[in-house]
Amino acid sequence: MTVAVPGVPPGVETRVEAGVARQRGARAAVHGGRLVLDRNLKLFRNPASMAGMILFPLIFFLGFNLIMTRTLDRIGIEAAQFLMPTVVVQAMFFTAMSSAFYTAADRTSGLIGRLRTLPLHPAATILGRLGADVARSLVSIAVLVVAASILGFRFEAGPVAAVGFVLVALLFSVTLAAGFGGWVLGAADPTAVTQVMSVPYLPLLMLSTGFAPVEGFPGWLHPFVRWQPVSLTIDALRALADGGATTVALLRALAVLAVLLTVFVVLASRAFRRVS
Amino acid sequence: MTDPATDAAIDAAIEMQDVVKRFGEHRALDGMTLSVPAGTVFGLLGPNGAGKTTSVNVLSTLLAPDEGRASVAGFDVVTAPESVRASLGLTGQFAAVDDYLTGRENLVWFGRLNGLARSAAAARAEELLAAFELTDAADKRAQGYSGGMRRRLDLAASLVVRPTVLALDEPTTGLDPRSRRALWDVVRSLREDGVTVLLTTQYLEEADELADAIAVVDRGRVIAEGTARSLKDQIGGAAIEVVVAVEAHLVATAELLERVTGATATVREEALVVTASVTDGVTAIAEVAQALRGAGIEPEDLGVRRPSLDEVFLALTGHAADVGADADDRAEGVAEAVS
Repeated sequence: MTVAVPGVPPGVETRVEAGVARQRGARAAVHGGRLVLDRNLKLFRNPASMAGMILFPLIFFLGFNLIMTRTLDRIGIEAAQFLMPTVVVQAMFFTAMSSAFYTAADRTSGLIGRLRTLPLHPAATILGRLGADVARSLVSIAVLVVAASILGFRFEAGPVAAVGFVLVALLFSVTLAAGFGGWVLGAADPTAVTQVMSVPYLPLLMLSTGFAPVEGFPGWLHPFVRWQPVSLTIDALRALADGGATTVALLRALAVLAVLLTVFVVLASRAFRRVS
Repeated sequence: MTDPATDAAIDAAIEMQDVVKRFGEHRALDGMTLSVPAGTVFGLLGPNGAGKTTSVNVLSTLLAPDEGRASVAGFDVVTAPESVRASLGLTGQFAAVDDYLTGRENLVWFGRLNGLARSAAAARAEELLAAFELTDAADKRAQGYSGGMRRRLDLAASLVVRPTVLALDEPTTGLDPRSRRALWDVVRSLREDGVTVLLTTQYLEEADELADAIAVVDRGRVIAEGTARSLKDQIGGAAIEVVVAVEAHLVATAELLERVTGATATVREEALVVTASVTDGVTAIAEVAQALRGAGIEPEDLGVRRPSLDEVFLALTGHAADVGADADDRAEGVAEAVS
């Protein structure tokens, strides 16, 4: 190995003032966040990551349609329209779990600790993660909208409601990612967490209004199925897609997601500040 | 801007004053005090769980101290953490590079994160790849790098801008001898460049090779300080070691060693080893060899041994280096998890 470390070119010396400036203020946070985002987007270029973003949501959507179309038809429900919000929510679960997987890897490798020692805005790491999660969610949603449209799904309530649909889905995705992310950052063993993340995911999705109306569940489960966050989100997405009475469903979803997001962000930030 | 450096801290690039860091009941740092003059290499020597990494984490603003004061380049880690981060480079115990990015992408990214413009970051990455002999692997993902290559990439990432102070946490643990020597060369050239280096290590040899001054750490505090030579002298310098072929020779060899060296001989029966400490190893070894021949004892092996870290430890603390270390590590892990 060449012994000498190359002399530092002019203008490259550590300047304390410049380093401090990069850690303060909203502009520094956005700039740092974009640098972290650039890197996070590069990680999506592997086949497994692409499959999780594009292929899995498609497979589940087509599979559920195949299985449930006749049954739903019999009770007068159009499968593609009914299942679309469900698979969008499921895809947001995939996004959040992959986000947590990346966070776990970065924590285990020491990368998050290292970022915390750099003259970089402390919010940059989280903003970069958030940006990547939103990008990933948008790709999954776009894929599902196209596929569902072919099978007969329509945004019946017009373009504004369609945009609202996407925004609620993103809010759900970001909320989940903050929850899973905080879990991974705070847990003693982040890798173990990534292996048990489906424990909340499966029952929340199965015991929701995603696949059957509340009445389809045993009576003692009704309160849970009706009021749990995944159901409230799916109900709001359905209202935004189908038209009709939207306000109450939308407000309920926004309220529960806002509360959860606030709690998760506080917990995740606290855990982040302890990562070394 | 930030607090002006205190008079005492201007000459010292790193200061720790009675720093205490608790993880639950466990005191990972328990009155840690050290002062590193600017432009020197300072070795923090100690076993696992002694508080080396916790010290580095406090200095790099990853952990806030519970008591005491610490500063880097004259900036207090609690009141001016942003200035500390702008002055310090850290290469941690586990090569924290991005596995999914190539070597070049890693260095460009860290350059950008350290405030370099795109073109400057790219140019700097090229230079560092060449200096650390990574040009051939520049476009391979770090995932496929060998341990030595990862360390080099990791160190290069800490040098995209010149830090005032560089902390290296066990930089050669797990490296092959060649990579270790190459890394030592880098540390020496950094010192010539005027960078202050804090080096933690478990190897006396490494501290010996590199450090201008050494602090021996145990249970969260400095228990001895000095140069490598003064530390070794403090515990009695070198020892003559004789390995005998048969157990029957042990007693005669021990008597003979004591006669020649004038020191008490230690016999380890199961290993067939007799040792005695000496001040002048070269003269003593000739005398011992002659005496053994005269007594008709053919040794399996005969040599001068420098004290190991274990022996330094035993001499300084009265307990072996690794006793309780594992338990401490566990306590730290658990405490961090629940806090």
